Amino acid sequence: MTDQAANPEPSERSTVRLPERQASPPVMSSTASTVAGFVLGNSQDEAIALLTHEEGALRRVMQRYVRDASTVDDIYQEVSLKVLRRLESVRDPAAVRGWLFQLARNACLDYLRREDRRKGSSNEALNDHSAVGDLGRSPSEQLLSRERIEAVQRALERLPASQREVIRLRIDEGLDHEAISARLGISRQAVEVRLCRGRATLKEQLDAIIGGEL
Amino acid sequence: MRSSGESCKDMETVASSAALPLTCEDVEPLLPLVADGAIMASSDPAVFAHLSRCVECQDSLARHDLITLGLECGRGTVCAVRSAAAWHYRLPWPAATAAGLAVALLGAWALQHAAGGSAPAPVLAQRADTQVISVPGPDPSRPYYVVVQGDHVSVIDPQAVDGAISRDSSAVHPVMRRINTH
Repeated sequence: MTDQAANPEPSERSTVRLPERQASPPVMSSTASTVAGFVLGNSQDEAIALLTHEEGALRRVMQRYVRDASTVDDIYQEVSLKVLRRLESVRDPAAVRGWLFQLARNACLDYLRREDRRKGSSNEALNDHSAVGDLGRSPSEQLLSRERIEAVQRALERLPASQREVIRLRIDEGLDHEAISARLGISRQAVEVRLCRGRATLKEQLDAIIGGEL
Repeated sequence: MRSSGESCKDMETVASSAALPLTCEDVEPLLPLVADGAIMASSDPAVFAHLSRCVECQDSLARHDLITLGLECGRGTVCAVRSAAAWHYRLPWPAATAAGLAVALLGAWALQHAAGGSAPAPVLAQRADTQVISVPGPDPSRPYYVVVQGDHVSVIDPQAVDGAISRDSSAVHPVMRRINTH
């Protein structure tokens, strides 16, 4: 297990609190491998073939985060470009689909954060998230309603202080696990256990709020 | 579903057995750390290989990710949802009066504009997280001003700020100073 401190830019470690957004292409010794029934030989044609084969799966991943079809199209194009540019370095057939999944998920999270910043700075949100009903709203919109943000915050307040402190240092101050470990004088493993347990509890609270809908 | 305590209990054991194909039971306890960014495709390809083919774990991870977004929104930085929510949040000074006045003024403004659709409130000035919005008062020639600053909403009578306010962005400063004193 590695920390996002693996980011090669140490200066960003203490200030960038977001998870690693660039999925590193998995690498193995083989130079041409079978994946999903065809051969990866490091060419754009093969990247296109891979995308064609995986398009449905990628779009389904994106639809978990963004339900608007045209936005999914945009994000899919963005991911496709990344695949075309970076697939050359992918040589591990077992890791390709996981790498694609991470690319798609990161692209969606980046999109949601960009939208949040954009709306926050241009006042477009004044009417966006205050509607009462959830019908037709994307999962993120459903969560990112005032009520649900407050619910998440309340759940955070109810966590044991030790777990809450670790999550706040991670989210609010952007500290990586090593820095949190040093700040609190506990082992890195203890940091990860507290973080893991706290987040798991928050998810249970969220599950209780929104039920089976996503 | 296992409880959070059980999920995290065997975290190290699960991580160390990543050479074997993983099951949902293996991956579920790790999802908080995937959402945190501590587990990535490059470091733990087996976890992501499972995620790429397991709809159930994808759903679960999406919820963890949404919690992250919710926590980020709650930390006070620019966030669309917080901006929207500011209209409904607590009012800090002469609360009852200000709240009542704000609701009345905004309601009157909304009624006036109902026939014309849902035009946004006119924003006179904006700096950082503070907006000054004009709403009609009892005297049409003398609008009131609603100041939205973070979670705080305040209503200013133009006369109360010595006539310093105008439809000019530079005039937001005296309003801000006044708000900061409350």
